Amino acid sequence: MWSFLNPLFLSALAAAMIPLVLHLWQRQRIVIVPFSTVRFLKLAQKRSSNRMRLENILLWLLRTLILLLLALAFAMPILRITSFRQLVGASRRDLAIVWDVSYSMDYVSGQKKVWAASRDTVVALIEGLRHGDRVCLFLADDDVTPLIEQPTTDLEMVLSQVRALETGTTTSQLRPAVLAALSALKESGKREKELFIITDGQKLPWTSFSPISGSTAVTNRTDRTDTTNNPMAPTATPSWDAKSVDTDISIFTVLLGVSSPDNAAPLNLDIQPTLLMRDTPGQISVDLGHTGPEQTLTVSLTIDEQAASQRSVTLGKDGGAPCVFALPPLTPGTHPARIETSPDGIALDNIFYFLLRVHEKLPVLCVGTETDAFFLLHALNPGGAATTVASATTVASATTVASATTVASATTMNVQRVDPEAFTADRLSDYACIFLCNALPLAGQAMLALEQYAQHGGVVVIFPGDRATPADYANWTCLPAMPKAIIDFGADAQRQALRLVKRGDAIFQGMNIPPGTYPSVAATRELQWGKLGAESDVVITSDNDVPFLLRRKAGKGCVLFFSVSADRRWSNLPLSPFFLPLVHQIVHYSAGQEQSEPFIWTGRNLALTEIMGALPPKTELFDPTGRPVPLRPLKTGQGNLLGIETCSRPGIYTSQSAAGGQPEPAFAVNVMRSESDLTRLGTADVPTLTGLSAIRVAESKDDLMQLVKELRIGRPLAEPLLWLVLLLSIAELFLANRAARKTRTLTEQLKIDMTGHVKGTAASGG
Amino acid sequence: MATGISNFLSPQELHRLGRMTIQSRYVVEGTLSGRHRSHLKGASSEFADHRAYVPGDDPKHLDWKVLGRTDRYYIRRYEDETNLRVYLVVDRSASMGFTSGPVMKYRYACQLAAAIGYVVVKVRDSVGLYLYSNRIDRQAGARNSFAHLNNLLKSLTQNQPAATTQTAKTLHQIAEAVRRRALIVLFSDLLDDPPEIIRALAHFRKQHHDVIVFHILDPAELDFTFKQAAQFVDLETGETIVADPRGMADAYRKVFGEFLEQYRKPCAEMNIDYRLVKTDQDAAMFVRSFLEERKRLSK
Repeated sequence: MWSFLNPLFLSALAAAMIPLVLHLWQRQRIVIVPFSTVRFLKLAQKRSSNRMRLENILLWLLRTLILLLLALAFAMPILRITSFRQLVGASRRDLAIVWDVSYSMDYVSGQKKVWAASRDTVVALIEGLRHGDRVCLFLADDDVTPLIEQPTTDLEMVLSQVRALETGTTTSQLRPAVLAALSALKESGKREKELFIITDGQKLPWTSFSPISGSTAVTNRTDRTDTTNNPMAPTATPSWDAKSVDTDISIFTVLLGVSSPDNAAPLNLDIQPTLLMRDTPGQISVDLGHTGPEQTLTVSLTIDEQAASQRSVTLGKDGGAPCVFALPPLTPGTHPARIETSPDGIALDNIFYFLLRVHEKLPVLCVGTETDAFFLLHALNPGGAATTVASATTVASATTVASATTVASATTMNVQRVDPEAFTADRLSDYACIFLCNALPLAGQAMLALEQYAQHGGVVVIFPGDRATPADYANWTCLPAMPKAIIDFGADAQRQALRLVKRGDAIFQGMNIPPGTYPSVAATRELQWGKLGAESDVVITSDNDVPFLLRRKAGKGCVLFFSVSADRRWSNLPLSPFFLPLVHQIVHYSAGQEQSEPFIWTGRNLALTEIMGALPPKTELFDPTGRPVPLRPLKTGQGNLLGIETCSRPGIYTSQSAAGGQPEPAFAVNVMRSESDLTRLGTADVPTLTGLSAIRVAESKDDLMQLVKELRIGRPLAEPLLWLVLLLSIAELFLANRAARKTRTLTEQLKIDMTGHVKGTAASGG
Repeated sequence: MATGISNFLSPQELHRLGRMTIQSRYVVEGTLSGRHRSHLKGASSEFADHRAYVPGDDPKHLDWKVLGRTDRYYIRRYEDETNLRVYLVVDRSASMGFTSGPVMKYRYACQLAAAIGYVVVKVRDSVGLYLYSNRIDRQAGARNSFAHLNNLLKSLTQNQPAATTQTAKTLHQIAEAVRRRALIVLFSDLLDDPPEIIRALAHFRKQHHDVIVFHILDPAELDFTFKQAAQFVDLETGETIVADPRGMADAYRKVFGEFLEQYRKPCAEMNIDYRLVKTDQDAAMFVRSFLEERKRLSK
């Protein structure tokens, strides 16, 4: 599979005969030299003839080879690798381009812009195609976005799309896009097939090829939709198997990023306390990540577009560091905030958006008669229970007005009570916690609403009572354990010590119970429990490890179930000094459970109810630039939910109700910070990670185009041939001079003095 | 000055050589009284030994002091002092006609012979000549006159290198011909069978001759400094060989070195004064250096 650009020079191959001709010609015109005697010459020739013959043959071979190679080099030979395919008529070509569009491609270092370089490379590849060649283009973000899914010959259209394309805000996984591209090339038949992976050399996207990450489903932190039935959901990507890749496909990759990237970004943050209350100080702990040499970074905190604080942090080489900001007391409401670092190679990850939700009072609902809830209401409102019991009711739902009362807590809670008969399922999500005080049995719809409330992050606290028999609990699906019976101790009630199973449990966070001290309760009646259900645990036990308070995780929320009632008929618990702090702690725990995340990551198919709870009808959502965000129903495992198909723009999203008014901060979106880690991949690592030993790796557009040229046109061999000629010439020079090298003459060896005395010996010198 | 010697030595060189002498390292046998010790006992002031008187002895040689002390008749004997007879043995085989520079080996040998002969005659010693190739081409007895020397040198000039060489055989003949103890000076390239030549030189030594060997070689013969491949033609036999000197120079030097060693060691063992002479050095200066060294060593 050779061809020559200057075949005329092949006639110069005849020059290989020159050494032989010169040898013969010199033999003909040999000089005759009279010599005193030739007997020594004969002896010398006899001794050195073998060596000389070998040297002469070697020299002749070398000289002939040099002339041959010179003639070949001038004939410009081209090694055509694909010529065989051309023979069978496969001259047309299909190109599949996988283009990394993650935000790390936006890296700018001085004059070098990675994205511009990658676009130039893609354009050059497409412009290098001939008439009849086809191209398809896949964008590698956190999944795969087929820009041109099927190979097309309309190169102008592809070029216009390429030129208009900008980077995304997601991370990148190359595997799904590469698999999609390989799949597209399968239909190419006998055409020459080439796959190009255009990326920045970041290690992250290549890790998706490794067996560890080769799961069968796309893992996306913010994609919570049911992928089985949702056509909008990302397709499940099969695992990577390098052996299944068609060997006819020539695979190239170009790693366009800088060799020593420098980037720092806030990776994550933690707000303490989780539940922010009015005028309560707190703190924000930010994790900073860094790729590159050691540097000092300025990190600033902005709340409500007001600079709140600033820190200077020194980050080590390729390391990270925490940075803590004190949170000033804030007014109730939702406050947009952001953490910002100094400008660097990637601007997108320098800002970390989040929301600070500050509560004034926690809404709590007690379902039960006034008698049953008496002690609970007073416990939740210890300061003014006697004086603030209002006869006028202000329950939000119009349907619950009948016998509901509002207890305005002097502290941090807004407690409402409703009779069990009047309890409906409306607006349960308005409450941080719902207490059921001898409220069972409830209507089926109300029961389902309570269970759904728990699933969405609410906490349902059940105090049993005389109204319900154990059979009344049978229809509940989210109870930690099913009551088997009600045990009546009668007059034998004895004081039992209560024990906290895990003192560090989130429920007891902030409770001050001195070590070694145990609250106690004297029960005359209590529930007897059956087997503990799934995802359930015992929070408090009484004597002999009898469960006293049980808990079951239900979705995002939970259900707490006491074994005694909330009034004095079953036990003296309401009179216990332990009761008040316990119910307060439960309410705060509930508020923390229900609390929305301060931020979410960019992603697809985000269910709004999971981000910001239930939305009032006709609520509009706006992205950080103020453009409306289309909402559409998503089919999830929990039914149809309203959601956002693609949430890719980082910043503070706002919502506006149909009633009008100012848009309110709804949620904060940040780009995935895994993409901020710009750890570079070595060229030798690419075949290792992908398992593709034949993959051709370039580090610049020019390198890539050279590799492409070598594949398509062939590898020009003139230069290596000339180098070979040079090496052979050096060898010839060495060998020729070795034969004629200057050795010590016999005169020098014998050391003949002026009087003819011979002082040396020929043997010692020779 | 005779025209013969002027062919080989300039007046300045002759002047410088005029002060030099050549000494035999052994007793010699001459016809005239001279500065060299003779093996004969004769009229001389140098006492040699005593011997018993026999009838017929001249009574004037009786040692009267011994007779007075021992009552025995002893004759006093004295060492004879005689002149030196030097035979110049010059090789004129065709190989002596080789040259790679301005001076042919034969011409150089003649220059050396002229210089030695001049020094010899100058101190009234006798000089003779044997010119040989594969036979003795010319021979002349030893006489102590410049006219004789000139005649010898003229005959050297008249005979040019030719024919093959049979050095060993010729030297044997010369050894047989020179009966009296003499100084034999050989000028040759010794391109013959070394063991045979060594045997011939041993023949001289057996005859109690003092022998000096001037092994005359051209620098090209010694170092083989030819640059181009050529067809080399043997001057004596006409044999040819095509050779690349650059490729075989090392081997040639080894072979030639071995050849030289075959002369050097045996000569040293036989007390023969062996000198290797290259034709690229000045002949008169060489002779002067040689004579000075020989004189120094004989003291």
